[in-house]
Amino acid sequence: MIKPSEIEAALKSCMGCCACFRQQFNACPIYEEFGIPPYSFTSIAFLADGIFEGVIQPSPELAPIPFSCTLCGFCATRCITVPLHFKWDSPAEIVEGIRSLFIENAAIPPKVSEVLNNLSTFGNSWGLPSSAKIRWEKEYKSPIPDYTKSRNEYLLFVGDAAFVDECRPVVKSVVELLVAAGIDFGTLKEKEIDSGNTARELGEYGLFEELCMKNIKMFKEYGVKKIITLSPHDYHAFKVNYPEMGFEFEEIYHHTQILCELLRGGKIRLAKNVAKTITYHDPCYLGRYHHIFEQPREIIKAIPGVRFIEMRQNHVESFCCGGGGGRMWYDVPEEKVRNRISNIRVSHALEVKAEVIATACPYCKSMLSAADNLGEIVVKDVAELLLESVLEDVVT
Amino acid sequence: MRRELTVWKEFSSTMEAMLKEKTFEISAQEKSRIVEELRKVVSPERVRDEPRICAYYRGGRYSVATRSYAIRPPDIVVYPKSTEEVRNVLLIASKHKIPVVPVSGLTIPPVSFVGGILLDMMSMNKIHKIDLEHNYVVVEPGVTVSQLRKILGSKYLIAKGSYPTSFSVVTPHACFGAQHNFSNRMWNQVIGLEIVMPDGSIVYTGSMLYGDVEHWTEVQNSFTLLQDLFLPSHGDMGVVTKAAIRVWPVLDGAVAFVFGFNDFPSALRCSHAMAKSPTIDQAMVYSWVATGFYGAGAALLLGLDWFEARANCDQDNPPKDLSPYPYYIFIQTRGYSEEVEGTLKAAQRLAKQFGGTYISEDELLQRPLLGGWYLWILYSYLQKPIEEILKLVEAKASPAFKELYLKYPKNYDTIAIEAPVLKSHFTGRVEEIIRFYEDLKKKLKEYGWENFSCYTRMFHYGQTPWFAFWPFIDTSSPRDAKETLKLLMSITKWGLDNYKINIQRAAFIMNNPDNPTGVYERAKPVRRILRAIQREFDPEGIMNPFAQKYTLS
Repeated sequence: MIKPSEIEAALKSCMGCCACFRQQFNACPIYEEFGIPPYSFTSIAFLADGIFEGVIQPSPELAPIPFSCTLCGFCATRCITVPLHFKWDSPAEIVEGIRSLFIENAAIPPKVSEVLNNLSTFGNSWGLPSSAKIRWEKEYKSPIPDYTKSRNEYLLFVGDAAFVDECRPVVKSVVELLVAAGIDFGTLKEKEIDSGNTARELGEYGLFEELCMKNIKMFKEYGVKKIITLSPHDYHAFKVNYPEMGFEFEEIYHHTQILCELLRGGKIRLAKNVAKTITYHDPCYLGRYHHIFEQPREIIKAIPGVRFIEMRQNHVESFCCGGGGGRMWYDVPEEKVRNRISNIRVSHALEVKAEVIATACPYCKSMLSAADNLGEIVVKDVAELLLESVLEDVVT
Repeated sequence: MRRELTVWKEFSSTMEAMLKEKTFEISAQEKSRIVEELRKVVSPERVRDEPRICAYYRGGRYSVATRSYAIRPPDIVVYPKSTEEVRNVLLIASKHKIPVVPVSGLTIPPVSFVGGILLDMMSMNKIHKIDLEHNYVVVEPGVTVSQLRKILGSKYLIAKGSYPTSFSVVTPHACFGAQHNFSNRMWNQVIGLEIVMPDGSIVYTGSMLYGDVEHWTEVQNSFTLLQDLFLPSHGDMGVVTKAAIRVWPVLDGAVAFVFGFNDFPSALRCSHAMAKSPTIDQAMVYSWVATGFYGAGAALLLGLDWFEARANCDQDNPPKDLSPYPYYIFIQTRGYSEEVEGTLKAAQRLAKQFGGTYISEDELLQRPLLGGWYLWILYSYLQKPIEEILKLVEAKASPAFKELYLKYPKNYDTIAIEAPVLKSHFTGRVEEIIRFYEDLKKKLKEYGWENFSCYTRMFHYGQTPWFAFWPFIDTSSPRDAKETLKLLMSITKWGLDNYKINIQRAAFIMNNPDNPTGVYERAKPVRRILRAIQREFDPEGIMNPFAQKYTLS
């Protein structure tokens, strides 16, 4: 979390060279989405600069600019001042801080306000009752251990995937694979609340802290030491923000990491051909933020029959799906000039004639699945693909 | 801990006070009428007047192009897609007597705003022609360096220039004037322009002037070389919508060679001798501190704040482990392999003659500071693809170097300006520059500025050497802003008065309301010509709306 004084100091590093959004091909997703420079990190930096200078007041009219950012962090790979001046990993953190200035002034888009209210009231962004968190379990063949009772070795933090229709198969796949590999894990069932990442990304630091403290209290109470997350956003919160709040896990895994380890160790054995051309979309918070590039690829490449192909933007250059930074819920009021980010990303997959876009984030799966130009392409999580190969009876 | 640039604040407020008198006022009703009118000639979604869109163009206080002295952002932003749309916008603006400011390049305003219409030219981003046979390209102002480079690279061509790849190709070549702080000594790379004048006339320079010819060529006739009126002119006369720019064949390869020197005079004299060769595209002298700046590693490696690092770097005494020499020459050459080989031999002989030492690529890449600078040269000047550079790092760089640079693999592209207001560029003859440099060191010391950084550059067979310096301002010192600004101005004036050097760029002088150096006073006849053109083509005075003393209106 970044303080206003730190934002102001960091802004002096921004020379406005625009490399962050215009240096090469599809760089900044919001610039690609709207095609005009007011939607870019430079623009957000200028806006904040005006606020600190006292010539601009945060207002609902200006709010779409900072809240348009997907926090994908691509700009950090282009910005020359990042390694010199920013003690943070990405300008994204600065964007979060700038959003907090708008929140302090109650100058936020209504949809963002609704999401924050949901987090505050229901403990999840969707505004769903906690019972919705375990609906997916009903479709699963055997009971999932309750961590609060069985105190398993690993806590599986389901996160938002539990609420999203297209992501429930991901949860089930991960669970099935962990069971097959003999991993001792459990979930928090209805007790699980949001990790706080959405609140932080939207700049609502107070709410983030509240959610964080609630989780920490719960983790301490149940003795959670090892955690597996499905969402790279939760992974980031647990890995980076929770230690700042005084809580450190012994082990934190994104599901692709632990699945890759299990595969390497022979605990997951691949049995079935998946004769498809598969490409992999790097989720921003997994790839650019945490440099977890190879494990998901290793899993895909290990699947018999797979023809793996990279899209033109991959690894650190991967192009965002459009769902980060709260954009999963918030549509910027620029309908007339919009070229959806997910459509752009899917066009990259079409270029390489992929049949499947594999990914490793519930937001990415959800956003890419909703692209208008998807056609015959199927979007799947790495875990789903892995499961297809493991189980004899799964028809690919 | 970064400190406030109080000098900038002071300067900015002076400018704002002056420009306030020129603020353009428009009523909400009038604005909405004009927006409606504009939307009939440009797609409605590309005519924007929402505060969230306009606010961007006020820029930031620390922008590279020197923050515009924005009294307020533009009232209307238009994103034209064609010359015809630009023409129609200018006609409407003339009819309503609204100031118009075109921007491309950085897209952040390189100009001052007092309201009115802003033309963001970045949507005009077509490459109209790549003429391989005659080595030129025709581009619109929104074409970025990276966009062009990608295409040129595949055809073994390069465009001269050293600007960041996010910039517009045209801007450093063509679109700057008194309001624009970018200069690149690239004016002679322009062989033709298409300019829309405020009265709707479309002016062509170069051979296009004669009608529908197949390609743009330079016409050796001063009358038709009107482009000089639109290049480093004292103000925007019209809106450049196309530019034909020279590109250069790489042939067998483009190569950079680096030499170390123990003193500035030897380095500069040697670079001048090297630049005389027809196989040298350019020769530059860098102080070691400047290599750190471009290599983006000195401060980091020294574990210091960026400002502090350079404020504590002794120009003549580098930390030997980071930088064995205080001064470096880099030369850029391209051509057939025999020419490149011969150039290196000749350059090595000259370096030896002037007391310099050749530093091989392998040696450079062992040191993050110099290696970073070298990679930046490869990327920015030689326009090597990033993949090639990464392979080089992988193969030759030391572990410390790799760790630093592979973490941010795309950060070789940098820019040379931290506070442009404090940077001065001069052109002059070699011996005058040396004399000026030596005395400048003493002069700066008198004022307590122990350290500064500099580089020089030469093109055109050494005919136009230029020198840039920027002092390190320790803003935590008790010196107040007014005194600092006054001091910088007086040092620059002292340089201009006592040495046969000309000012090329110094934002704080260019924009100084009192214009103390009198630089522009020397150009009175030019200003008369420009005024006459303005009266003819822009009777309503919509372009260049800032009536600073030295500008047109």
